[in-house]
Amino acid sequence: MENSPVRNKDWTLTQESFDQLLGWLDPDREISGRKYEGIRTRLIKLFACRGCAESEDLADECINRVAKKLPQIVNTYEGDPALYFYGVARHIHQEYLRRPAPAPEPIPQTDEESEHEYECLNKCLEELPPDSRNLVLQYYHEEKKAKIDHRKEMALRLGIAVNALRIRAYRIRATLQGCVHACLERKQFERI
Amino acid sequence: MLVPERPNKKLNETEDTLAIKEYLLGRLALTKQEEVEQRLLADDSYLENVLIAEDELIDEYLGNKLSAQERDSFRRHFLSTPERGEKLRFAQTFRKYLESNSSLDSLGESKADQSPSWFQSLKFSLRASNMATAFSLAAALLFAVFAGLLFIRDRNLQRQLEELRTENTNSTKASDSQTDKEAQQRLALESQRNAQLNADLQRAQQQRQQLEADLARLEKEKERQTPGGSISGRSFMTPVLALGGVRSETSALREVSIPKGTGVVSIPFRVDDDKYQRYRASLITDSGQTIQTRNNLKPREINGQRVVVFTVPAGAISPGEFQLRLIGATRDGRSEPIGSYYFRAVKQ
Repeated sequence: MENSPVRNKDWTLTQESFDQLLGWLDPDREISGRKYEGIRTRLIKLFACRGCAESEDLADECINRVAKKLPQIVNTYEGDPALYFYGVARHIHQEYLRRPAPAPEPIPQTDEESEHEYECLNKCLEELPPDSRNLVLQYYHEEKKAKIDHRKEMALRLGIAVNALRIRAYRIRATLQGCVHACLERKQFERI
Repeated sequence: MLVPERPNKKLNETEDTLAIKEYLLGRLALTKQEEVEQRLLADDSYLENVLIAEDELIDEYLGNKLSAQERDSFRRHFLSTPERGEKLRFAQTFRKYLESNSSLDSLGESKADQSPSWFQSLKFSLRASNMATAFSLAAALLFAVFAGLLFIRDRNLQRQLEELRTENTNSTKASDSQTDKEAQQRLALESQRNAQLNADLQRAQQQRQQLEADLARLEKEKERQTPGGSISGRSFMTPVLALGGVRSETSALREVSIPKGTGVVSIPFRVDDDKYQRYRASLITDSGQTIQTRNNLKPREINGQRVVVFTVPAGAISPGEFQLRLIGATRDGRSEPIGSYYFRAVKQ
């Protein structure tokens, strides 16, 4: 906490201000929470893309600052709220750059961890529906020049565009990665 | 007439992909970077494009397909967050798996099976490679069918008119009044048929409108019922959960009651040990399904207790038993499992 590069120490997010923020994002109660999650995810990605190791902290700080400022702008601001968050995020990034932050040390994976990850991948692949498993294995299978032709042929066979295939393969891979991640966590917990 | 929009679209897709790649490597000019970031925040589908590009960049790195400068940017800039380090490790393992299971035969498909049939090729050319062509062809086909029907109907009417004229001419002398009567009867019959056809058409249109309205309503309901998708506007903070030992099988399950209309649920849980700088928490159902994982959670003080707050959309929590699994990150960057917080969610 003490290493947090940009923290507004005088103000914390209260229940009331958080509710007001949700209400500003959308008057429809069905979608305001979803919008909040979406903006938070995007802010994390944005800070990560700008090379910030503490991207989640910075995203939360950004949300806090917008919530703090909200009573002053809520009646006058026009346009997509996401873009207001963007303006604040840029400002926070500038502050972040002015403060020296320690570079994260990459943690090398031990042989045992690699082995566990491989086992988990095997297990997670088995859990996938056969169509998804075949698709993801085939899509990422070919190498070099053959890859482009191979993917075109796959798309043709499935009757979809190459870009649609790319998205489908990515989603299965993301599911697989999530499954492997959860599996590794379970293994960690089994040891305690 | 075909509009040549597909090549432009492809060009834009390629430009987008290249811009995202440069952005991920931290090599994009500031104005372009801001364009990408604004889209990232405001455009729903753009985030997925960025995530896909991340995977592809990692694959290119592992496959030695990046230039020396790109590799340098990749290591210095791209790998600056722990999540991307995890993605890289996963990609390495996946690559290893693919290399050691390299035969396509194991996927259960022979080369012969892989060749697309002429029907698939046609379907593809209509569906995928050129949507504008597909729509144009479909519209042209509909128009042709319509025009054909109109033509046939027009010809029939003309023939009937000719017949009437002929009959009229031939039988003028014989019986004018009889012919008129028959002609009027035929016309009345024709009008009746037309009215019937119009009524059928109107009924079909009403049915279609009703079906469309039902479909829209069902889709909306489905969206509401999607796990994680049903969220309302208010936030709600549960009472502080305590670990109570490494695992809490012996203690009674804490009940957490979530009020109706809650949008976001905040779950604070006590962490007594100050050994860890950051925490990672996963919310898991009793069937073992992970609902949400939060990284980099930091402890803070609430009512004199050291707590970590886990936030989750209320729509993602259905009534039942849950555990919050906690992992601590030490100062040297290692992660250690700490324990689980168990509770039962009840919706009011």
